[in-house]
Amino acid sequence: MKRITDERLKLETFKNIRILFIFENLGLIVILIYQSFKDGLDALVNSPFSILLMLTGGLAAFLQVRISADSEERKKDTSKPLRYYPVLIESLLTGGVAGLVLYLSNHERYPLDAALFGSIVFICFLLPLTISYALKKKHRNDNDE
Amino acid sequence: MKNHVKQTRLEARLTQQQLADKVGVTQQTISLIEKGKYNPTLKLCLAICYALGQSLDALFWSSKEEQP
Repeated sequence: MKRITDERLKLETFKNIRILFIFENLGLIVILIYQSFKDGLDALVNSPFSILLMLTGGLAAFLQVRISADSEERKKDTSKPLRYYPVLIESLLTGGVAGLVLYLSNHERYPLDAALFGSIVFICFLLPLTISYALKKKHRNDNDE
Repeated sequence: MKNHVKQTRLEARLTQQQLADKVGVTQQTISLIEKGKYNPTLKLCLAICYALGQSLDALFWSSKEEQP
């Protein structure tokens, strides 16, 4: 296949890839729903398709962080100083609430599970929020120069 | 986006295909640019300017009143 050099055709190709991505994901979701009806929820959880779908979601969220950081920064007042502690508090609170909910659901069985789940949620929030914070800070520094 | 690419290309006695070959795009892209149906990037605008020996202003500038 010949390499595309025309910028308009490159753009069209990207648009086509977007359509293909939506089509493929919808197909995966339909397959998973069908599988869950046919073989139950366990089959859905164990299916490699669901893992692929989750990984794709995670990757999409990670790639989207830069765009979210830019669009959020545009809405907010940039004269206010940027601080890291709200990121930490937000992550701690979310992790704490998630762990507490699991703990309250069953005191005897889940204390360790609740702590583990809370820690995982904490890390899952802390990582993207830290990246977002670092990007915002970098953009502010770039703007100041 | 309204522009003067077609007029300048005709003055330079070039076909759409010849201009397209010079700037490395397809003839359809040149046609769409001339009709104002595709907005080229600044990089492609400059490539067209170099190919036609004109400035960016002469080919692509139009006042606010001229824009549809």
